[in-house]
Amino acid sequence: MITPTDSLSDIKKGLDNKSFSCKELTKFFLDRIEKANKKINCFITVCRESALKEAEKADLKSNSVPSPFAGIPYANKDIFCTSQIRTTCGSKMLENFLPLYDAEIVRRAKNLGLIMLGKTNMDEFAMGSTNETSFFGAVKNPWDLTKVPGGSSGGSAAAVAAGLVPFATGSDTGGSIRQPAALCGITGLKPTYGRISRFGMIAFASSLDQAGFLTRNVEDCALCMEFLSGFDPKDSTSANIPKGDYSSELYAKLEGKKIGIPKEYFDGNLDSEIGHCLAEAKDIFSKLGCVLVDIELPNTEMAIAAYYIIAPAECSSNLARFDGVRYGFRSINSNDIDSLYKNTRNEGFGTEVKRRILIGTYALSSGYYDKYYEQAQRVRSVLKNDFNQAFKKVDVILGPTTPSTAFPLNKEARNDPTELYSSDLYTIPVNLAGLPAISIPAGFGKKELPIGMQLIGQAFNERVLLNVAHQFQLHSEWHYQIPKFNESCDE
Amino acid sequence: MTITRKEILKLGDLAKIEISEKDVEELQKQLNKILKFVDKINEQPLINNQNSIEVSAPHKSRLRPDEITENLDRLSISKNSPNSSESLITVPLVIE
Repeated sequence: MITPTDSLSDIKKGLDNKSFSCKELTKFFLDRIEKANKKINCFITVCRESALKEAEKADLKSNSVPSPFAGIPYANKDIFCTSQIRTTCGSKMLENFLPLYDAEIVRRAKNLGLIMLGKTNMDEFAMGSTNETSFFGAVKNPWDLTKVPGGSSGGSAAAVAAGLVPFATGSDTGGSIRQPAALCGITGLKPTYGRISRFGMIAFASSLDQAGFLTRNVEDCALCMEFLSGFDPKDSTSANIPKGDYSSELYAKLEGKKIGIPKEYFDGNLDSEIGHCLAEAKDIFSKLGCVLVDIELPNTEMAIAAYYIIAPAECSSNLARFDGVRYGFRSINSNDIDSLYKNTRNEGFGTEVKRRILIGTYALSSGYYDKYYEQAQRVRSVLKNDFNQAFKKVDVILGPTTPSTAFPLNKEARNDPTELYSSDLYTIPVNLAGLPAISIPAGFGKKELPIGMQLIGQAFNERVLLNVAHQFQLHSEWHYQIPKFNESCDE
Repeated sequence: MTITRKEILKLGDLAKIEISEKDVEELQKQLNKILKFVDKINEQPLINNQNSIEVSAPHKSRLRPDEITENLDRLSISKNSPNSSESLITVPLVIE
């Protein structure tokens, strides 16, 4: 029997035992998506026909494919190019865009026999932390349909939480995998910068963007890392550094492991109910033989300001390619080439994207470059140094993923563009330093909304990060909790 | 530091985004709020010219060998354009 919250290894077992066929499995999830998507809007495109066709093929060759992923359904954030399948990046600008090639992560997934069920909703061009900036409408949080799922990978997070796919891909520029994972009560991994190819992943801020995964548990994350990460010559920022055997190292004992507790992550910005859950998590690690070490990350507050200069600066450059000429939306109100560019970009981009392009243009313009962009890069090197100092004393850093649980959907009321910036306070420093980090469920708040714990690792040491996170999940049950909403998709 | 109305229009010009008269005031208000927020980075005394401005990737980027690899078909590429004719992309007059 198929259950919507089966882990990847459960599903694999079911397929191997012939408890269900790949087609039955695929249809099971597609039917759930059909019911749920009307209510939570987590998919922009559902690939029903092609998925069922792929599933039939997988059933025919089920005995000959050695891939551990063969026949397993999954979803891609709509930031990853999929050959001849609409890729919108949550924007009107790419509403009808059909890429000519697959992103590397999609290509690898295809080769492994994974079956793509669709493309998940996201903040426009990954700019946002509520999923409300999507041209295709906001996603709703399955734990409470009046709350945001987080963003920008909000569609992926909601889809996994609602049991619509076993796992989904995401991208994380300032917390876009970890924050929605925390708000939706699932596991979300942002690997080290360079660990997963970004070839075919639509660029937002190239010195920060990183692809990763949203899964039910750490074990599934380890499997995704084993099979979908790794060097790609097509991405010049891809690292040619050996991967680990992530799955087998999950079970290493934690005796003597040092876990850093940064005091800046537990100050007045943090909701007390999150502080309380993390105190319980620290106790679990102590019982497992870990040593908790007080550390300092003194420039944490500066990270958000630096990020909101660097990311818009890079986006203003990356998004220059959307000009209405070669692909995507083109305004019909133009008589000359200049008005074609200007009208296309005004009509094709949403408010948040335009605001970030303009602020980025300002930060890079003559006379302001030193004051903003260079200074932000200095802050970045200081932050990186803070982490380097901390990692001389500890193996992993523990803190909250978000300062609060999921907040109400209310795009119209958000007049101040800086209002939500602080929701990424604990995730942004990790991107600026290029480190790996994971968010895992660590409890629930008073309103029965999930709370996420963030663990930060050393560069390219996802093995230890996943090991520590998995040991926590072996001694806690938070990751087994599912929203009541899921029952409405069972009927 | 505040952004003036004139600068908003100049930014629109640089970024090639049409900004209508009715939107200038609201944009000016919002961008000034953002600037006030990010100005924090100039208050930190420890962060000065002595700190490096290195890009903080944890590994070195590299160039791939200069070899011809798979290419996309020209006709398919032009078909992706909102206005194309065979393998050519159509745009309004560029040079008078």
